[in-house]
Amino acid sequence: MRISAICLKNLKRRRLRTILCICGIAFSIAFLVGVSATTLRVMAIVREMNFFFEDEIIVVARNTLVIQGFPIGGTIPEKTVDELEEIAEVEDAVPMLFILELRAGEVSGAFPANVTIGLPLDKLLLLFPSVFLRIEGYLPSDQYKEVLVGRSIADQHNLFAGSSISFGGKNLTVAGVIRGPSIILSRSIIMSLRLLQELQRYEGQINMVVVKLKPNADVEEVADKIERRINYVMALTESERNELTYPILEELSFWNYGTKIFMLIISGMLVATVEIMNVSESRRDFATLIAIGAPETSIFKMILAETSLLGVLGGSLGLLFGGVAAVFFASIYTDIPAIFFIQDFFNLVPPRLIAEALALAILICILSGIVPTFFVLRTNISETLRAEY
Amino acid sequence: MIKTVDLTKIYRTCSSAIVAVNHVNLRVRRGSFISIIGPSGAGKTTLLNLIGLIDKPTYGKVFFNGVDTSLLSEKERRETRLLKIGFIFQTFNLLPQLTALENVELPMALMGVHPREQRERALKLLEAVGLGDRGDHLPRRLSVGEMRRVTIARALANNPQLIIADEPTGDLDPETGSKIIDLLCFIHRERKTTLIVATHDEKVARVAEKTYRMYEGKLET
Repeated sequence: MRISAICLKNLKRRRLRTILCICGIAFSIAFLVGVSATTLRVMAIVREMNFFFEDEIIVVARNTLVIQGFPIGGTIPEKTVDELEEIAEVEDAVPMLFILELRAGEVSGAFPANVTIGLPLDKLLLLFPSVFLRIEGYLPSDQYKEVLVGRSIADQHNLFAGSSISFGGKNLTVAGVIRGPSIILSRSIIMSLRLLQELQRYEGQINMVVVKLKPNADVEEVADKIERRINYVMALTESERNELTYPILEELSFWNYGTKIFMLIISGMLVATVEIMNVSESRRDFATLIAIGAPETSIFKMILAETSLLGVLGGSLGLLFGGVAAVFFASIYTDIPAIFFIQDFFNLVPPRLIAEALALAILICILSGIVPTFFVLRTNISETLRAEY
Repeated sequence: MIKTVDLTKIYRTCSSAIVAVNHVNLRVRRGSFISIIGPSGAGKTTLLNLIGLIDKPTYGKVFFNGVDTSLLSEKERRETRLLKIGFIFQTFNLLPQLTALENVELPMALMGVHPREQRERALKLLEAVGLGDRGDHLPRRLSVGEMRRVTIARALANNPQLIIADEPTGDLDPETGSKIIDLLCFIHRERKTTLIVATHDEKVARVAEKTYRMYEGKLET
């Protein structure tokens, strides 16, 4: 018999308490994983937006809510592009329509994509770094018929280069599938600006302009100049966009850590309570062990093996529940079938989060075992062995 | 092997002090069998706990194999208990979640003996106490006499130099009590183990080589 085997028998002996304790830890870890996976996904998307349009100025309608480079609502006339191109320091001004829908296709009623981007097709590769545009197929050339679709949408609707889709009542051809790692582009449909304006009735309207500057132009100065010249727009430099977004990311991060700490404290208290109850009930057993000469390390090993086993079982079960919860919530909030999140599981629940949650569950359970261990080691053995129960 | 010098244990409460063991001077030779007889509350168990290094005296000293045990660290006291002393507790103190066999294996497991060897030795010990077929029984499935025999087997597990038995026939019927006495005598004879038995059973006292009487903490021959 191994000393650590005794802990298994102890847990088995108090089956109901052990199961309840494991369930308690599992729910804490599930909550932690579910919340973290959801917030991490949002943070990853927001951070990813920052990869686009580096060193460029984004022009949007004044008072529009902007997440990194992308506006939520707010339109400006397309002629703004001409006014921008008149500024000496501006090398190029690319008009864009960017439509974000949390639940795919719910607002637009068009094809169920979460992001629809319209822009001049000849500017496509200038705007998006090539890493985001690993295209299976070809780049669209017919600006009234051809579109690019993200990999997640393509997988969901079984689309490939050459497939036909109906978008807002018009039949379009999929020129290519974007196979890059971008979460945003994986749920996007990209088409020509003209086509999107026509389909979504945005004639003559856009909601953002990406302004590329000439070499040696001062970004801040040009942004100020744009805002002075065109009074209905905001010209956001990269640092201004970060300033708008970082407080949101920091707050998300704060709540993420807060939830983790809160749930781990609850788990720790639960395990410590259960273990104190276990060792209190087994005081005579521990006193016997000490009386026959059990070294302190064996007592430590027994109690810590018991608590870490609770951590491993509760943590593993929690990861399972948490993974299911994360898939469920992501599916509910985005209207994407759960199967696609299951296929893409490690993007939704990153391996680092899994390792972190399991390690924290075990660590907190081990730490919770320290108090009961000292409780046992301080027992007066002769009095305990004498006591009548 | 065992020598106590002015061994005294006082339990203090807020309002009073109880002298459980009062200036006891005792000498036990290696391989001898002594019994300590006396009524309940005489201090027998306290004296055994002091000799067995489970408890520490208020005054006085216990010498084990010539070593002053008051100079030993807690770790050394535990090692001495594990390797050199076997305890037969009054209330059995078998671990309820372990089978009879596992209870016997326990001291060997604490000593780090290989699990296979633990099993072989434990089986032999259970056979020696007549419980070869009860190894997989949990303590609650055993009779009082059988539990007593398991505690004897456990006490022998690490082949100790000294066995301390506290009321080994205390709650047994006369027939089972006699069997336990016979078993202890057999172990003493065969293994040359030093045996200290506290009892209020005159039959045990009759088979011991030397009998001490204890009353209100004092030991008399």
